[in-house]
Amino acid sequence: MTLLRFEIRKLLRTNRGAVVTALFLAAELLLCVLTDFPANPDAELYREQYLHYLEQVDGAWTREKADFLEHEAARGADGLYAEGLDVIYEQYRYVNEEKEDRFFLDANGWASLLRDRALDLTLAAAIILLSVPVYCGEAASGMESLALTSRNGRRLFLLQKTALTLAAAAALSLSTDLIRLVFCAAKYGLPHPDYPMQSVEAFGGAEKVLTLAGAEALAAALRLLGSLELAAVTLCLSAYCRRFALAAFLASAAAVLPWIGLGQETQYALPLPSSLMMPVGFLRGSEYAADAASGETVAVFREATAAQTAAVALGAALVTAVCILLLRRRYGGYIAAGRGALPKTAALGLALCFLLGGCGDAAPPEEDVIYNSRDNAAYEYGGLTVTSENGRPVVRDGDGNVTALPLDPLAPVDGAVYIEHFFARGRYVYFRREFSESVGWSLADDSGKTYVASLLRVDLDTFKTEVVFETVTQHTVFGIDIGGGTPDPLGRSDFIVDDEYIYVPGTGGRRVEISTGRMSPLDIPTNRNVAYDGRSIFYVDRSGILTRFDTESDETCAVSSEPVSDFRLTESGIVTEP
Amino acid sequence: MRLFRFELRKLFLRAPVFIALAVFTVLDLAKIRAVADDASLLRTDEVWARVYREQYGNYSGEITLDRINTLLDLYKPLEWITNDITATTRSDVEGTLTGNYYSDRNLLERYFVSPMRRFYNCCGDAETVVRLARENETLYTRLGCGYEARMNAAVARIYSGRAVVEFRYTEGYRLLLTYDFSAVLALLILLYALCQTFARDRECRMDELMLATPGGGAASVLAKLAAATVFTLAVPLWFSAVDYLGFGLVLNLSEANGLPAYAEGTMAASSVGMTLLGFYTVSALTRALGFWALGMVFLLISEAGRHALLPFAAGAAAFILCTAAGVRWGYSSEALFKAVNPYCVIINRLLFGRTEFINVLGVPVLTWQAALVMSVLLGLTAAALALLLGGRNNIRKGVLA
Repeated sequence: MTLLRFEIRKLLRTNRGAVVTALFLAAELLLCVLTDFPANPDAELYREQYLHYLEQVDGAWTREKADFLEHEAARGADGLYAEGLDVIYEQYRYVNEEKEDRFFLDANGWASLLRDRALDLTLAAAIILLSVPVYCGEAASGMESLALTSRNGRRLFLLQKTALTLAAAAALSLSTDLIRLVFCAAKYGLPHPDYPMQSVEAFGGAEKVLTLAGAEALAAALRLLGSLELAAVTLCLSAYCRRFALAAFLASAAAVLPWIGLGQETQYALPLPSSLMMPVGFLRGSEYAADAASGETVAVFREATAAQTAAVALGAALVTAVCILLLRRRYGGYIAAGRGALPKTAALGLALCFLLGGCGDAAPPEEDVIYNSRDNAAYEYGGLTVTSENGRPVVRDGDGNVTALPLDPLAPVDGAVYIEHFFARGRYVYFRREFSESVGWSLADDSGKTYVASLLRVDLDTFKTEVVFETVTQHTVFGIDIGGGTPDPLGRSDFIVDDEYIYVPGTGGRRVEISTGRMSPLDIPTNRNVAYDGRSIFYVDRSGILTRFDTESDETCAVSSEPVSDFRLTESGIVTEP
Repeated sequence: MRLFRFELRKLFLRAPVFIALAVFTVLDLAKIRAVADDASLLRTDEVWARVYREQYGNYSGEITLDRINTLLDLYKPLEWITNDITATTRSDVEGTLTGNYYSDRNLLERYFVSPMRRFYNCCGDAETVVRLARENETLYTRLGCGYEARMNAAVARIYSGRAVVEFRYTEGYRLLLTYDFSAVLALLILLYALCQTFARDRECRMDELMLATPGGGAASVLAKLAAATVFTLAVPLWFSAVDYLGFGLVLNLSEANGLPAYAEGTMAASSVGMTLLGFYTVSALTRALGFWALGMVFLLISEAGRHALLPFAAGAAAFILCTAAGVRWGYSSEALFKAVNPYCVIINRLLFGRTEFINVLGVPVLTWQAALVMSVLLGLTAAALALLLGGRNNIRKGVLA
């Protein structure tokens, strides 16, 4: 017992296992919070309205539910729940394709929980860091030969060290699952674990029959097995290499290279630690993409069958067992000569400071703003007229000279696409630019693509251009599919910009915070003119009443008592048309 | 010099390093083959390959109106019959190249028409860029925006006289220039070799012993830094050479060696005007420089490690953080974040492939120029710190011992 306590102490303190574990937990939690995004952002944004409908159709497909939704959609939204209806109708269309095994469900929690498409490098690193010093440390300090000559040395030496390390790896793996489970349950909720896995869109094409809870349990079990395999392989390497650097190098190569180097299908057919540590790949259905050349649909990923999954799991168990046998062989007979003990050195803290933050935004001048989305055709400022021509904002001066905005000479070659809608305010014109780059070539899928969507601001006095807000979605790094990120929140419609926010009115309206990119719903249900006076947004609501939304107090109030058909904001006030 | 040779042999010219290099070289070649098979239809489709070989001779070489017209005469009717998707989908149609109208059209579009169009338009596009830049320069000068005027003048300078006069096969270069796998291989080998630079001496207590020799202390640290410099430059260059040879073997690279870099689609807005081969060489050297800077940082970390594990982990973490920052800012408009990130120097098409400037005291500096300077500074700072800490550390220990 004393010996076991001593081994635990060695693992946690001497080998800095406690520090590694603490760092690992902190990193996992941080990654959860920082990198998580809802699979269906609109379901989050219009949560209340969406749940209003979901309550009525939750569960399996039935004729009545289908009729109800068709009826609602045909009737048109009654206003209050318009965005929620869009979300549920999308889901209805998805469920309709496979009525048997797709249920109506608030799936964001499960989709987030069962997402991991990239290798969890933190987990792999933590396991390697815990496992490498176990035998390398003994070899380096010469303790190895000493321990092996003692009474309890041989059998216990191997047994306790190996068992402890494997237990630690298992604990790390399970805690990852636990952290994510708790996080997703808290952020989105994990309703109805008994619904079929196919209710989540990512698994729509899967053939396996599993409930959501079953899928998560299977994923956790596979991840556990992968972690154990990686730990066993690393232990084996550390026992045979005896050198920290070599063991860490080989273990990292074994963990990372198959993931980067091998195709997805190959990965999920081999008992690799990396594939088992990305267990969602075993659950996913086959995926198809259009071939860019022939236009034919080709499979980019073939589903791993249940038998294949079982074979891979068995293979991994076998690899683990072989590694343990090799360890036994290593410490069963031959006793190696030790090397000199290590001198103590103070550890150096490496601080890598990264400047975090969004795009900067300078304060525009305080002045009266008159903006009517109707007027998107022309904006006058200081003898200049801003209009849209050929899908791009342009400036026309008094002499009739036309200059395309922004004054970027590279426009003919850099492949940027400009969107004609612009918002003007004082001396600033805001408009949008999109840019995409594709590295992959044979398939017309998203992997290998990068999208950049920017909101630009041009100062009409100096024609200087600034980027106010930008989203970058990159799908691959080093050829690895990292699954992309949040889509561009602005879309291609009209928008209004103030110092802090971008307002996108209309159906699916939203307000985007410029500094953080955070979205909140914006209820400006209109497809007619939207006006802005520098503080309030004016629009005609569903019942035809001219309404004012105060952007500072977030209050909405009626301006007209009678319905109006249209209106304009002018310098002298609002002109309405009955 | 003897010390340098000795350190080089002790640290890097070792069997495990060579074995790792050999194994990784094989892995790299296998991956190149897989990438080429995946992306190039000329490798997977025999009919396409045959037709391409037959047709290529007709169009390669100087771009003339004759050649363009011959190509369009072949392509236009195909486009016309396939556009409304009513053409037969039979795969044994007489008078077609591959036996199928759609396949013909796709082949011509992908391998002849669209590259030809791009090459042909290159000159006119560049002239437009120059004209716009000159106009902007005049306007900004009038408005008193000095920096913007200088930036546009620089753009006009860079883009003037651009033209692609020859039609060549560039697919190989496209894949070569977007291939990043070997960077990970080089990184792993560098991490492995560098993290033990100081740890090894410490593990066998050589560091204390060395203080008693004339070559100990600062001199030995300097020798280590020099040896590490040679190694960190050599490994990425080796992989760049392997990449070039690998892609050269599976796809034809030599055809396009002499084309200007901006002829390749992903480099259309590039700020460099050299040939593709020249650009690949520059890109490989830049990548090596990026690895050198990172390597010096690894060395600095290695100096603090009790054994090699901490430096290995810290080095890997540093690289992952750089990569994460690269994913976040590599494509953004915040050009400064690209220039200070070693990841962007390693994956340097992010820098060379765009014409972006950083405002340095009112002078427009191209991102790649800034990034090169930043890398040299980062590497030198890390090396100087390593020298400083290493020397002092040893002397203090010497006194205690």
